[in-house]
Amino acid sequence: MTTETDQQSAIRCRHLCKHFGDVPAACGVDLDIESGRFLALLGPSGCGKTTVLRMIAGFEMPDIGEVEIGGRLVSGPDVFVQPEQRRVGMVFQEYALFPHLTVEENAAFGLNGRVSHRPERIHEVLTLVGLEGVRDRMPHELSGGQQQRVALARALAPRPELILLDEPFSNLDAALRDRVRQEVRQILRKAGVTAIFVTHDQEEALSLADEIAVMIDGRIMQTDRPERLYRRPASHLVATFLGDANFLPGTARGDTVECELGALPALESVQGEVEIMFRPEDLLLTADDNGPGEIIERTYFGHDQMLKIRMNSQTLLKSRLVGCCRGLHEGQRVRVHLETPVMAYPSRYGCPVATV
Amino acid sequence: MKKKLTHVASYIPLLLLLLVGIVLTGRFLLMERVDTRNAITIYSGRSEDLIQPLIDRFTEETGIRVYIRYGQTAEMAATILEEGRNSPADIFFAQDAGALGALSRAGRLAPLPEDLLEEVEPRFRSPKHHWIGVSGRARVAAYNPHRISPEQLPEDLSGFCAPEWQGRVGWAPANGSFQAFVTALRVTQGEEATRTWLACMQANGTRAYAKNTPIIAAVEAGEIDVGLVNHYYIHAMQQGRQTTMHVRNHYFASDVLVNVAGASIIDTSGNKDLAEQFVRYLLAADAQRYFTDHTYEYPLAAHAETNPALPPLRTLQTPDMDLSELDDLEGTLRLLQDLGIL
Amino acid sequence: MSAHIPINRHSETRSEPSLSAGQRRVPSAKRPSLSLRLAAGIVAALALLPLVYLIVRTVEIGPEIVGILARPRTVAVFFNSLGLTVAVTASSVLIGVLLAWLTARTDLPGRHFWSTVTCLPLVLPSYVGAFALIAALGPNGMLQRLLAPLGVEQLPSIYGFPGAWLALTLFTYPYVQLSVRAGLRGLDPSLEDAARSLGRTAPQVFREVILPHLRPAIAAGALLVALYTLSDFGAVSLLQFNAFTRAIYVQYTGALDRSAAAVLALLLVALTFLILLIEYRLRGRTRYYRSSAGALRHQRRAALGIWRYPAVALCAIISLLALGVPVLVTGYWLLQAGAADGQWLQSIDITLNSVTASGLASAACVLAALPIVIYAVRHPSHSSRLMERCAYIGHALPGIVVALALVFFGARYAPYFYQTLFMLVLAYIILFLPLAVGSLRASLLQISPRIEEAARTLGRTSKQTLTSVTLPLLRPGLFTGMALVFLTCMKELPATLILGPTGFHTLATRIWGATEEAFFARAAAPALILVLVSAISIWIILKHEEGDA
Repeated sequence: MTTETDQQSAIRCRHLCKHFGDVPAACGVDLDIESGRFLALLGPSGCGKTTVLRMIAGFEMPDIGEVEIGGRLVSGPDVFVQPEQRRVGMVFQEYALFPHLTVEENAAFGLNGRVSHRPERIHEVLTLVGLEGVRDRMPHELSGGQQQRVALARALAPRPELILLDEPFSNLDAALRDRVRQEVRQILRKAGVTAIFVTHDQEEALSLADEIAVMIDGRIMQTDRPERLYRRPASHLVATFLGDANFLPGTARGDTVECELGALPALESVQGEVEIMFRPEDLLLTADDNGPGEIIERTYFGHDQMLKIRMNSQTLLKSRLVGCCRGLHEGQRVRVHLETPVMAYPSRYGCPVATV
Repeated sequence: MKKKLTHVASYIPLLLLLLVGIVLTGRFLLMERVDTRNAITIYSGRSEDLIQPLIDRFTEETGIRVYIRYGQTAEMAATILEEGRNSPADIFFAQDAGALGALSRAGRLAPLPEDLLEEVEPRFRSPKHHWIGVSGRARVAAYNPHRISPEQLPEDLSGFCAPEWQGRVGWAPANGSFQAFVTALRVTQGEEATRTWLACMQANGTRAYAKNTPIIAAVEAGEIDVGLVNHYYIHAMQQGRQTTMHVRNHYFASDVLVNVAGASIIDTSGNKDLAEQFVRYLLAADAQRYFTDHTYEYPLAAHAETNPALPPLRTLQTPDMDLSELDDLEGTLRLLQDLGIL
Repeated sequence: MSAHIPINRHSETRSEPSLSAGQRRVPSAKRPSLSLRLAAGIVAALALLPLVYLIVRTVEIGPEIVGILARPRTVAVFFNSLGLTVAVTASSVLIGVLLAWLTARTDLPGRHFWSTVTCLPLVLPSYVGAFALIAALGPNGMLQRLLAPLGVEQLPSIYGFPGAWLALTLFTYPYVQLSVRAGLRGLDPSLEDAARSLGRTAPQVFREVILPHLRPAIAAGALLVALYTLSDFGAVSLLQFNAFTRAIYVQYTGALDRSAAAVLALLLVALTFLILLIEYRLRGRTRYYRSSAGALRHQRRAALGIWRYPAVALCAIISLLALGVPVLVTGYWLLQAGAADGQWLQSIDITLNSVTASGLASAACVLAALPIVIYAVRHPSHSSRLMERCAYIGHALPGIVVALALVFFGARYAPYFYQTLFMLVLAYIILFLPLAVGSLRASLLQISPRIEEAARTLGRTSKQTLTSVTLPLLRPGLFTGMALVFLTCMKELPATLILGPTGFHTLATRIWGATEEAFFARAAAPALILVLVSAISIWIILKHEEGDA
C-alpha cells in the first residue's frame, strides 16, 4: 500500500462513493495529488464535485471508499476522522466568515481563537493576503474580494496540509474575479500549500490549476494537466465539456486516420472505425470559390473570430481564426485543412454526428 | 475602533444577566426546605389575606411552625388526591363544605376526635367525623331600603319568580357560593324543583354579575333592587368606605343555607397530633373572635359570640342536609349550563 | 480493435459499487452526535410527561372513555373552543401583521412609541386583563356610564363568545406582531425593489412578495396564539365562555374526577397535533439565511399619506383597550388603597420570588430548547421533527393539567424534589418550552451551516463550535426566548399555586389572592410591579431586534 508514490501524495481518494437516498451523488472517485500542487475539480453544476470536497473535509461520510491525507487514512472502513482533526483548511463558496468576530479574530480562530496567542502568525497571514490594514474591521464592513481573502487567511493560518476551495470566485463580479484569482493563486503558491478547488468555469480551471479532474454525473472522467486535457480529452464527453470541438467519423490505420478531410495524423495509435476530434483553432481555411465548404456564419470577437462551415457532405465544422477577415465572409466558399494531429475515439456506439 | 466598542457594549446585557443569574441561583440554593419537625403543612382554599394573621398568632402561641399553601379550594383538593400516599399536607382548610365532602368520600380524611367535634353543632360538621366547620356564611337577599321595604320582600326565594320582580334581581352564576347554594337546593328540593325555579328566575330577567361585590354595588346604586349574595359582603365593603352604605341583608325565615369553611386532617398526615392542635386552635375563642370581628362570618364554635351586626346563628333555619353533599358541584354546573345561565 | 485506447483510468471503475465494504456506522460530522440526540430526547420526554399522565389516568377508566367523549356537551364545548381558537388566531394575525408592518415599515407618526406600547399587552395576565375589560365594557361598566347621558341603556353583552374573542385577541396578538416584526427585518429589500420594477404597485408587492415571505413568521406567531387560546382558562372563565378548558376545570374542581378531565385533556392534545400539522404545512420549506455576509441595504419605509390618521387611530384604540384599560383599572385600585399599608414594601420579597422563579425558568427553558432546536434545524428527519413538535404539547394544556401531572410524578417518584423551586421550574419548562423553541429556531435558521463547518475545519470539535460560533450568533434568539419565557412565567398562576415551594408567594399568586377576596386595592401594587418588571423583558426583546437589523 505504501509505495514510493503514495509517500508523495498530499491527498489520495480511492473509489469514493456517496449516495443521498437512492441518488448517487458521486461514485468511483479516485484522486491523487502531489504535495504543493493545485487540482481543479471541474464539472457542470450538480455533478457531485462539492460532495467530493465535503467528503475530503469530513462533512460527509462516504458510503464506501477511502480518503488519505498526507499518508494518513482519515476515512475508510471503520475509520472516520472528524473534520477538526483532519488539518484541512476550507474556503466556502459564501466564505462563511464569523459575523461576530473581527478580521483578525476570524484569522485567529484556527489558532485557539485568541489573537494574543500567536500574534506573529496572524500578522503573517494577514500580510500574505494584504489585509493587515483592516484587521479590526467586522466582516460586513469589507468588500467581496476582501471577504474572500479573509476566508483564505483564516483557512491558511493553522498551516493546513491541504486547502479546499468551494467555487471560491463565484460570488465575485467578473471584473474583480480575474484579479482575485491571480492573487489567490499567488497567495497559495507562497504558502506552499496543496489545494483542491471546485469550479464549473473551465477557463478558471485551465488558468489556475496544475491538474484538472473533469467530473460529470458523479464520476471523474479524466484527470490531467490542463494542456493535455485540452489537447487530448479522453472522450467525446470531456472534449465537448472543455472548449469547442469538431467531430468527424473516420477509419483509423495505426498512426493515420482516414476521413472526409483526407488522411490525418493521429495523436495515438488506433485501429478501425473511429470518431476523430480536433479543436476549431486547428482548422485552417483558405478562400477558394471552388472549395468544398461554405461559410454559413461568422461571429467576430475582436481577438479572434469563429466561423461555421458547411461542407458539401453537409457536415458542419467550426473554425477559430486569429486576426481579421482575410476576405472570409458569410457565403464565401473555402478549402479546409488541418496541420495538427487529431484525437480518435473508437466509435463503439456508431458515429455521433457533430452538431453545431 | 468605534465598532469594536459597540461590539463590547453589546455584551453588557449578557453580563448583567449572568450576574442576576448568579444571585438567583444563590437564592435558590439557600431557600429553606420544609422541615417537618414540630411543624405542620396546610393546604388552604381560604385566601392568605383572611387566614395569615390567624396562622401567625397560632405559631406565636404554640411554637409550631406552619407551612401553608394557598390556592383554590377545589384545586387543592385535586392536588391532595393526586399526591396519594406521599401528600405532604397535614391539614386541608377548605373554603366550602363540598370539597371536604369530596375528600371524605375518597377516603382521604382522618376522623377527628369526638370532644373536638362537639364544639360545633351537628349541622355544621361531617356526620362521618371527617371534617368540622370553622366559620359560616349565610345566603341572604341584599336589598336597598330606600327603594323597597323588607315587608315587600317575598317569604322565600321562590317569590322572586313573580312578575313584579322582573328585571329587579341580580345573581352571580359563576360564583362558587351561588353554585353551592344551587347544589343545596337540588339536595333539599330535588332536581326538578330546582330546575323549574332557575328557569323561572332566568325568564324573569334576573341579571347576571361576575361576582358578589358588583351585585352589592348595583343594589346600592339602585340598578337592581335585590341581590342574591352571601351575608358578609355588605360588611366587608362598608369597611373600605367613608360613607355609610344603604344596602341591608334580608334573612329568610326558613331554608337559609349556611355553607361553612371547614378544616380536616389528611389521612396520610405524619403529624396528626400537631394538626389536631391547629384545628382546636381554629375553634378556640381567640380564632373564633377573629372571624367574628374581621370577616363578619358566623363563628361556629358553640361558645363563640356572633357579631352584633348579624342575627344570631341559632335563629337561622338551615335546610336539613349533610353539607358534605355539596360535593356534587358537577351536577349543578351541568344544570346551570343546560339552562344557559352559565 | 486491439489497439490501446486512451481511456482515462478513472472511468474504468464504473463497476457497481460493492456495498459490503465500510458499511459499519461510524460517527460523521453530518450525523447528530449521541449527546445531542440524548439531550433532545430527554427534553422531548420531559415535554411528554403530561401526556403520559393523561394516558395513565384515561386508561384507568377503560370503556367509560367513549361515554365521556360522546356526551353531547363534550362535543359542543369542543367545537366552542375550536371556533374561538380559529377566530382569535385570525383576528390576532390580522392585527399583529398590520401593527408590525405599520411600526416597522411605514412612516407612522411616533412609530417607536407605538412599537413598544402595542407589544406591552403581552405582559398582562389574562385574569387581570379580562377583569379590567369587564370593568370597562361590562354591564354598568365605565363605557356604559360614559354613554349613559347619550341615552345608551344597554351595551351588547361582553360575556360569552364576543368578550372571550376580544380579550384573547387583545392579549395574544403581540405574539404575531413580534414574530412578524423579526420577519420583516430579515426581508431583503431588493426583493421589493425587484417587484416594483416588474410593475407591481405597493399593495401588490405587499400581497405578492412580502406576505408570502412572512408566511413562516406568521405561522409561528399564529401557532402560539392558537395554543394560548386553547389552553387559556382565566379569560374564558371570567368572560363566561364555555370553552373546553372550562369543561376540564369542571371535571377537576366540580367533580374532582381526574379521569374524565384526562379524557377531555387528551382531546385537547389531539387538537394540538392537528394545529401543529397545519402550522408545519404553512411554514413551508423556506431557508432564511442569506448566502453572503454582505451588508444589508437600508429598508425603505412606505409613506402612509392621508392613511396615517386612521393608522394612528388604530394603534391608539388597540393600545387603549389592551393596555390602557387594565392600567387604568389597576391605577384606580391603587388610588383606593391610598398610601396606607406597607404593601409596596411587602411586595419586594414576592417580587424577588417571582423574578427568581421566572429567571431560573427562562434560562432553563432556553437551555432545554437548544438541543431540540439544533437537532431539528441542523439534522432534519422524522424523529427530530417529531421531537420539536412534542415540545408544543405542554403549551396547549391548561396549567392545572400540567401541574397535576407533575404532582402525580413528583409526589410518587421524586418526593425529594416535590414542591421545591426545582419542580416549579420544571413545570414552567414544560408549559413554555415552545416560546424558547420558536425564537431559537428562527435565529438558528439565519445562521448558515457553512459557518459552523468553517469552525470544524479550523480544528474545533462540534461542542467547541457550539460555544465559540453558534451560541454567540444565536444571542438575539436566546435573549428573545428568555424574555418571552420570563414574562409568561411571571404571570403564570395554576402551576405556581400547586407546585411552588410551600409558602412561596409570587406577584401572580398575590394578585389572585387579593382579587379572589375582592381586596382589589391590595392587588394593585403587585399588579403594577408585575407589569413593570415584565415590560423590561419586552424592552429587551425589542432592543435586540433593533440591534439585529
